[in-house]
Amino acid sequence: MKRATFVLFCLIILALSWPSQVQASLKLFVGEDEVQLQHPLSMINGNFMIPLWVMEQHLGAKLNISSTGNIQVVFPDQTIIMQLDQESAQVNGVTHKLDVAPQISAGEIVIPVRFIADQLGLSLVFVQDLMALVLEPPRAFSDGLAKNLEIEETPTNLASQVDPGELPADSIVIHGPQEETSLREIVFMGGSRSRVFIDLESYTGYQTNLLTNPDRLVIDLLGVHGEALPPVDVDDPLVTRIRSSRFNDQTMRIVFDLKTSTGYQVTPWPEGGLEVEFNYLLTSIGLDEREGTPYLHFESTDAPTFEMVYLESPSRLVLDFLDTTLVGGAKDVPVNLEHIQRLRVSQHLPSTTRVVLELKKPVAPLALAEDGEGRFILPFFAGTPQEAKAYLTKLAAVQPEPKAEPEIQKPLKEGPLSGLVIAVDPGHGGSDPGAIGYQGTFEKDVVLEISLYLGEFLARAGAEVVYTRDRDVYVSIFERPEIASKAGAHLFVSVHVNSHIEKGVARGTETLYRAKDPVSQVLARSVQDELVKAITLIDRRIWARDDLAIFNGTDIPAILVEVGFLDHPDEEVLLRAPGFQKVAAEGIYKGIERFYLENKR
Amino acid sequence: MKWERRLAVLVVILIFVLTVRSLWFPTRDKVEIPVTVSPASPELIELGQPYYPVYFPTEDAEFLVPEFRIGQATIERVLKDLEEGPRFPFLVSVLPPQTEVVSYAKQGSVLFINFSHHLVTNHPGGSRAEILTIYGIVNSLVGVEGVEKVQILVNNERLHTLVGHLLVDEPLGKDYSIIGAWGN
Repeated sequence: MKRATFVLFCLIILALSWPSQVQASLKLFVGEDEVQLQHPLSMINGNFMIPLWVMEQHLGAKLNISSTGNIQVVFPDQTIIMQLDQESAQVNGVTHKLDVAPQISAGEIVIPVRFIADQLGLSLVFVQDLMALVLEPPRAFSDGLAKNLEIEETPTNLASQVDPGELPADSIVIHGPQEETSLREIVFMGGSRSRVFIDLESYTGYQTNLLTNPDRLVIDLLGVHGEALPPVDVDDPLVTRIRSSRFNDQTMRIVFDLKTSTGYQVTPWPEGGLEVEFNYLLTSIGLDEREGTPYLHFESTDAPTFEMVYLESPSRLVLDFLDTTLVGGAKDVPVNLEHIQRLRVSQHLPSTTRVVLELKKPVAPLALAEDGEGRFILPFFAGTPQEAKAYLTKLAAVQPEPKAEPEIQKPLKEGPLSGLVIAVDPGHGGSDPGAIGYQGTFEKDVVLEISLYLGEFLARAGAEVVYTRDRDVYVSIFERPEIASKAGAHLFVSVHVNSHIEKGVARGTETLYRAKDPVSQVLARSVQDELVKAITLIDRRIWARDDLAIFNGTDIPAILVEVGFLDHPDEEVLLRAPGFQKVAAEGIYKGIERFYLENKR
Repeated sequence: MKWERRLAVLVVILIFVLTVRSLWFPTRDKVEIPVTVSPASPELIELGQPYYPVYFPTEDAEFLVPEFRIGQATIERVLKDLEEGPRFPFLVSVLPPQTEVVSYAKQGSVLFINFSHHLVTNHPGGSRAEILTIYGIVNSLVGVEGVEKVQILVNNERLHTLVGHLLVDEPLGKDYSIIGAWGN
């Protein structure tokens, strides 16, 4: 009977030392087979690690492990050789870099799952309902998933016979297999910004370089295979020729020969391809006076948009022309006009030309007008911006000018939020891309998608939604709260994604709210809780701020939601996926609904 | 029967342990990465020696954390400390790459610091990074030689915001809400 005592004693020790995370950890499936994990899946530097034995037991590989830590994974058509603690692997003799080295964790060898998925051409899918990662044959990258807001049913079981090619509604493809991308076509679209579309089969990373002598823009497309295309000669004020060539076995190089060095903007299309736009060229800037009205004149390929700031002591008017390149260098000249004493022009940012007028008496810009082909004039009102505004208001009262109204989404049906007007504010936009991810994803694009989904959810629940922008356009941080108050909004919800100075480390969701406002705080708490529940990223809590520009011009409950970190490679992949964007929008919507239902009188 | 009693006691303990384990669920989302933190500072501060804090963000963007430097704080020294960046691993720079302090001037209790355009052009964006950059600068300098507020300038211009979130068009005071402790 002593043996029985000993066995029991061992059982107690076992029960005490059993890893407690097992109950809460992720499951792993290969196809429809659940992998019986002995330890919870670990994550290292943002990469999920899976045990090596999964290769043998679920993926049909043969394993050879030497005492020196050399690992051979032999498949019928390929052999992968890795070495413990080394961040490289050989596949059929070709060396690949690993994000994380194979290593020993909790007594077993673990390897990065993304690399394996790439080599075997598998997708890695996260199924939220099961809290499981699934390695399976590739499917389209989350497509169709979210476009359809009707999808409501969530299969509770992976094996619940989903149609081939369709994912359960709550699953997210977090890593697709690398496709062979090749350059399909270079399309010159022209226009005032000399637009060019580089047609690629799927999304790729890229690097750009603006070079001089001769002036040219070089874009290296990473991971693009196949043949280069013949050069394209174009008749354009800026671009003369577009060439492509193979730079190395992983990189295709595109060179734009330019007549003059200029700023540019590259916009990746999520479905593949890059759009390149060059800045407006600004030349012959000067000041003059006509009938007592001072005006700025310049030549440009098209009318640029500008922002202005009026500064006191000394009195200056600063005009920033957006998406422009100054041709002919900076300028700093005295002028002898009644109101203006000096003109300074410089390329302030790569895509912004700054014009500074040193003033003797205050002036304010009126509307930009075209004065002959390619020539523009900006007349000034002699007076302070306030006086100019009053003057313009008076003018508008006499001569009502059609003004672009903010986009309003009327309630789609009666619902729990009927009677509520909600301002949805997608951060950044237009010339301001916001944060930029590893793959070149722009914050302005991600947050617009999430905001439009959010607006649709809210309208379905009976709310009237006013967007501060509903397309890719620049709206200043001061106009945003104004749009909300003009529409009589009851709540202000700004949607952003985050970034950190050290890229690729910080992760998670946080919500900022107007400080010293208990209602905003309750709204933030409710939205943060529901959003974190929906997208299961790390909860970075809610934070009170009294210095956010968008909270300043309004006194309604206001929050700013930072859905995730765009500079973290894994979160970037999620934030780009329409399926994830929809889930995030639904989380924010549920938070708003819960806040309203719990707090309405 | 002595062993029977012992067996009974063990059975009871086993049932108790299993019950407790089955009731106690760990939080699902919390990922804890064990971090070994070296002692308080690379330079040991001796008793009575003067020292001052310079604030840097943690790698995970949670907080600004003071890193103490030996000596008497001056505006020049703190600006140099900010440019040089943190000495600890797990802390990251406040300033985006290549950012330099071009000039500074003190008017009353307000310190005007004129940064190179890299403060904006090389800034990664995101409200968290913006908060940490601004208050990394402000918190480190407030308190030095009678500085109560800091006005950030870029290319000698007063901006509305650096990257679109926080207002910096007026002098800012210290923000205590984002100072955290670490390695606890």
